[in-house]
Amino acid sequence: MIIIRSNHDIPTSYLYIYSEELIEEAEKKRFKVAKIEGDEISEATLRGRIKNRKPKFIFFSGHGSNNSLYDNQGKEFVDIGSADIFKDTVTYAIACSCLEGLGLAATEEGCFSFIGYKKPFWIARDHKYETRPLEDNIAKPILECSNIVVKSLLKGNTVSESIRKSHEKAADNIIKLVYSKEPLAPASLQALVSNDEALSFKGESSAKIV
Amino acid sequence: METNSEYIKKLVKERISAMPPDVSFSIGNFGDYTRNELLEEVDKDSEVGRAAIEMQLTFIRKMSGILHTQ
Repeated sequence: MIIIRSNHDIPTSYLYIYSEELIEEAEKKRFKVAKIEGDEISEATLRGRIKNRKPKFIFFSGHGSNNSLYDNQGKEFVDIGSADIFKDTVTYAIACSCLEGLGLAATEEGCFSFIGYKKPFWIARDHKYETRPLEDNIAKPILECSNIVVKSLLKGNTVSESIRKSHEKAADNIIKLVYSKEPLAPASLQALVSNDEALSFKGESSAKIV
Repeated sequence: METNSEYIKKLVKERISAMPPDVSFSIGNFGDYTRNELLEEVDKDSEVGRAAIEMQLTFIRKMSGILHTQ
């Protein structure tokens, strides 16, 4: 698998740190994980790694838009015009709004399945934990639900099963947050409900990476 | 008389105002917003403000269904 992670501002730093556990999980399951990070993120680097490794799974965390994904400088590095890059893979992008444009274009160009978000991806945060994201209990329920898609795919589940698992985890976290006495819980709850609504896929529901 | 969109904006602002000040929202490549900055964006009717309104409306619509099924 190839994992592409930007890390140049607060939201991407949260996504970056929370994706560490996914790399550990993948390596435990004997996946060969190729990382593309920081200034390395570019279309040319990605095409090169794909050519050498022929990954079944590409995972991106960072910023996106309807038609593109952004590199570590906040510039588009993949867009609808280069969506063939995802051919013969299952791809999951934790990025804003990229499903309807880029995701659809990717599947039209031979991507087995593209999982992503139809709307902006919200992360609610507690200021106090800006430098310690893993201790931020406001962000955690949100990122658990986006991460579970990868964990489920790594276990050999299909795309639709993995999305269902994320919805189930979101439902559990929503109930916990509704009854939470934490003053910031409503912020977490609102972001989680919005992201859960936005999570979907294009392509084959039965696609797997194992 | 308030129009529908004015009513929705007021509702969203009240919901955001009810949150403690030490919360921030990261909204992808739009950036990072404190509670008060988000309120300003809703007032300005910016792209971020409209995203905040859509998020709140999604929340209200979905939550009634979620709680109903529990």
